[in-house]
Amino acid sequence: PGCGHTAVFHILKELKLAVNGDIGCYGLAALPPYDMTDSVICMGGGMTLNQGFAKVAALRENARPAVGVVGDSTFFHSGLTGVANMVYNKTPSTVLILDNRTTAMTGHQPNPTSGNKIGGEASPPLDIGEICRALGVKHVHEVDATDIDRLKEIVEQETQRDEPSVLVVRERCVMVERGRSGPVYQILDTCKECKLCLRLGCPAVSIDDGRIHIVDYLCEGCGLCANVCSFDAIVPKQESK
Amino acid sequence: MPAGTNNAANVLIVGVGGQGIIRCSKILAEVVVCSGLDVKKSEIHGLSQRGGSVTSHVRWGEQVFTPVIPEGQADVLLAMEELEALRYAHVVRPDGVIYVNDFSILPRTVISGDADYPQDIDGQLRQYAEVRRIPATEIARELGDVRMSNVALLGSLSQSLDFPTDVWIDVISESFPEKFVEPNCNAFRTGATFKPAEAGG
Repeated sequence: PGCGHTAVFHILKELKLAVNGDIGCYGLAALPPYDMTDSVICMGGGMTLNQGFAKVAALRENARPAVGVVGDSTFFHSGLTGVANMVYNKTPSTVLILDNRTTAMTGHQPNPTSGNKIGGEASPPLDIGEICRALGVKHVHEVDATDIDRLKEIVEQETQRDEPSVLVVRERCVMVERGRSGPVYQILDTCKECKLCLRLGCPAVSIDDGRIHIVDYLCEGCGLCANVCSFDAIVPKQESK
Repeated sequence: MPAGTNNAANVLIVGVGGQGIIRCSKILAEVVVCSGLDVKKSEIHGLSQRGGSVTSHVRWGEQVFTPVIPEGQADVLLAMEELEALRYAHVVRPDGVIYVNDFSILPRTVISGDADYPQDIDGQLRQYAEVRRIPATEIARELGDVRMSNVALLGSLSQSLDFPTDVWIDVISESFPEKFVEPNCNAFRTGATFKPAEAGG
């Protein structure tokens, strides 16, 4: 899709998790077609509120698992304290840190993960995973947002764990690091029109007179649509050029 | 162009994020600057830039004090997309003009079946002002790249303004990398000579 991190919300929705979000661009997941953010308070609020959720869930049987979601920029603004709190209080909370190496919501200002300062001067990119380990989180995973199967497996595993855990989910912001990550995809005639791909919210997957198609110039080549298609009707297009 | 309040000319450019609305307004503002007038602009960017509702206000005159066009005072609404034209039609003055690209982009909620795309957009737009429908995306597609839709539509807008073609072409030439200059100039000229059919009303 336009945004590679969309896959994360696709997975959270599939797993029926409660999501404590935040005010970054991932907060837009509160909107259709995802509707996958249950709380938004302030920067760093999702991951800390989730600690309360985790504590309550620990007291109840069959509680719906919850995750806290925060972005890389917000993590550096007010997320480290939340991680310290989670470790110190031994809260079995799971935090997803969506790292797109920029501050997308407010207009793509660089941040400590970007590798450059606001004037363009090179600067060492800080490693979020290592910082979380240094803060004492024992279960830290670095995952690519496009590696859907692995992402889903780890989210399932960590939300069941009774210790703090962090997933650093990495994918570029397509508005900053331009260019397709793979071939343009197309929809074959074997499409059963189940419309599951339309529910991804990808700007490139559209419908015209009932016919689902992929808009070439909007496709980023991530292949998420092909991944969710149950009928193998979405395949890479043979590039003629 | 009819003079707006305080003798400022007001053009509101709208569309869906990614269609080149901001680029359009930069070119227009630059053309105004080259003509020695005062210009102010204000726009939405950031999270809307892919798929969101984007607007850019451009105001110019002898002296402009504020960049935001008051409701009902835009001389021209330049819309890259039909639904966005409708969304901002109330900003146009009754004797103003709405240039609308003959192109629609279905919002996510329409695609997912949760909402309906509005019908009879021309009819609804005509309740606000005169409508000129421009096949800007079609023009750009025929010239080889739909991404030039914005410049083709800007060409149509130039028909309503008094700036010389040379100035437009100079500014467009400075606005794009070398290999996109000639195609964009063509898109502009095609838009500038396109005669919109009367959309009735």
